[in-house]
Amino acid sequence: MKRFILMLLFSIACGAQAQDLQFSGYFENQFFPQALNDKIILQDYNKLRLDLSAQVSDRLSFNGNYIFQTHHGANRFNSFDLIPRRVVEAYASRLHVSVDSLRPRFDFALEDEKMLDNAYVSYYSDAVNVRIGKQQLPWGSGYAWNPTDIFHEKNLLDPTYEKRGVNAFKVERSFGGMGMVTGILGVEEDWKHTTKALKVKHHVRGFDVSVSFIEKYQHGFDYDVFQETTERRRLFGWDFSGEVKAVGIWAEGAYNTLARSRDYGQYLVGADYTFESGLYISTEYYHNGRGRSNKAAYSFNDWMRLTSTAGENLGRRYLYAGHRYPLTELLDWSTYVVINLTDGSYVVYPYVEYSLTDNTQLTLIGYVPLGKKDAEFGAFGAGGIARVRLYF
Amino acid sequence: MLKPLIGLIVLITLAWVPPAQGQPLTPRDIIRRIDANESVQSSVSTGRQIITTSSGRKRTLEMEMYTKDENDKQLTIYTGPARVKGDKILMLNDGDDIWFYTPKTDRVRHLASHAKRQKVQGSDFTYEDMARGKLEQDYTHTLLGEDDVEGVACYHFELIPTEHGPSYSKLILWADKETFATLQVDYYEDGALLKRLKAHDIRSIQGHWLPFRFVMRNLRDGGETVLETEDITLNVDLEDKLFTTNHLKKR
Repeated sequence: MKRFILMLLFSIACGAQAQDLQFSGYFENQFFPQALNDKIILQDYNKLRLDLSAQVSDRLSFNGNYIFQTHHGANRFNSFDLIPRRVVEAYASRLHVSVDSLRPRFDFALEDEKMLDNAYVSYYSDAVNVRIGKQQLPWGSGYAWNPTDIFHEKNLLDPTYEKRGVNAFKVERSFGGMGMVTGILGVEEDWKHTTKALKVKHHVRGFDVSVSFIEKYQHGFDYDVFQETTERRRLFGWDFSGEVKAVGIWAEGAYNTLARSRDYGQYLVGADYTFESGLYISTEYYHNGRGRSNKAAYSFNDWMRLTSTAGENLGRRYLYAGHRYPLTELLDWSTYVVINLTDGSYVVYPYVEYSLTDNTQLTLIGYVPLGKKDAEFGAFGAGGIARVRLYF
Repeated sequence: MLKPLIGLIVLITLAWVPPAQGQPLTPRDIIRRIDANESVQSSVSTGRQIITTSSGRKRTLEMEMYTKDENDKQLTIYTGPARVKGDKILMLNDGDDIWFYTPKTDRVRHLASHAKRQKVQGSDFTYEDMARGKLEQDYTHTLLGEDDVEGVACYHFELIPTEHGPSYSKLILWADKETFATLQVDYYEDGALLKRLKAHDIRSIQGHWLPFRFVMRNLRDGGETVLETEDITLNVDLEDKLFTTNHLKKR
């Protein structure tokens, strides 16, 4: 398969020779120390992303990137170390086994990666745009969360970090100048399990407004019975963004119906503002209908979803607040706070971005969790990220 | 037969007097002439921004710019360096509506009006500085008199932004008396001089006197951004769909 993809890249590149064929990409090193079990562990990775774009004709283009990523330092973990002891013991007790006997089954490692992240062909015409292949499918207006986006995983620590590409056929048809209908098929093993999505977006009286529908067969794992699960999920979503009295506002919501589990709704509302001094502030309130109403109800399955899949929060109500201020032309300083209003735990992220050269960016992110050990954010040790990215 | 025709020509010649000829221009006339000089039906240009920080470090951004309907629609596409390549800024309705697109996430974001105060890609130009509105619509004006900028005789105006205008408390503008090209603008915030824009290398293109080099100096933090036009073509036939959010994702 990899050989086929590389041949495809090569043949498209050859087809586009002497046309607008461009190579670019970046190298990134990320170092992240973190407190875990009363000691500081050190992790580090090197990531090389190679981008290729070819303007085959006025209407046809190809874009793709390949990622090589190697992990260093601590790269073997056990999920039990990330979950409160009380929850692990209750889980083992329910299965009538000891924690120690279960423990090896929850080992995991960060593996080196070589993968085609995004690779797609785009066709543009006056009537429709078509994009086929692994691609970004950004849905929703939220910053820290996106209830309508079930294609990508989002990391609360760094919500704007690039997302993994999703394999899909996408067709877009514009209407009325600023309106757009988007249809998506995410191919699975048969038509029944293929993801289907439809979105209608328009610009109405200064607001970008959209409604969407997605049907997807969602894969998971039930640790109570140690079995993979697949379940049909239908999402009815909406979102908008605009401003009222010069204050930026946005909202996004989704109601999810599931074939076997309980239905739930998720929504968020947000606002932002920039002062004359350049100080930017923003906030978001998130209601997570899938979450629990108190921390005693956080189950082992909930904790595993939190630690293994980004964006699956435990509680029902959250508040995000942050600011950004340009200290100099090259240095932005931000601080973000995310509060789990359900269990009272919270995390503070100091965030600094510095432009070292035209094409080199340094990012420093702190992670300071506060709250009780059995609460969502209090369970994790403090840590941070130092990231250098060099574009070429 | 010829006499009546000559008489008619003489009569028409005597009757026709250019409206402004021999009469002093009113401040409104001058503002309209400045607007007319800067308003081109459409344009395609390439250029660069050279940012010099207060500590003397430099960053260079390269870009393509497209405008239509007398600057009502503007599209900026960053072509370099690699860090920002492919980022696009779409401004509609004289900069009242702004969208930012980045290919890294393939996401189009609608910026609220407060975000216009934010610096564009770290430069000393904010989004509202980049939006070329109309002086007559965006400000109330007072002619302060005549002054000169580097030896060039200028009209000297005070401009107070209307609700459609930018967030500055006032602007002081100098425009060449001969060409109506803007030569200098001082930006005030809360009564204090914040930034100074100076226009250089002014060339005549299809009846418009356009600067090929702007220097925006931030007097508060000492930074400076030079905006240089490398090449510009006026009155180009640009399709409306180029200035839509849907088109931003086209690569």
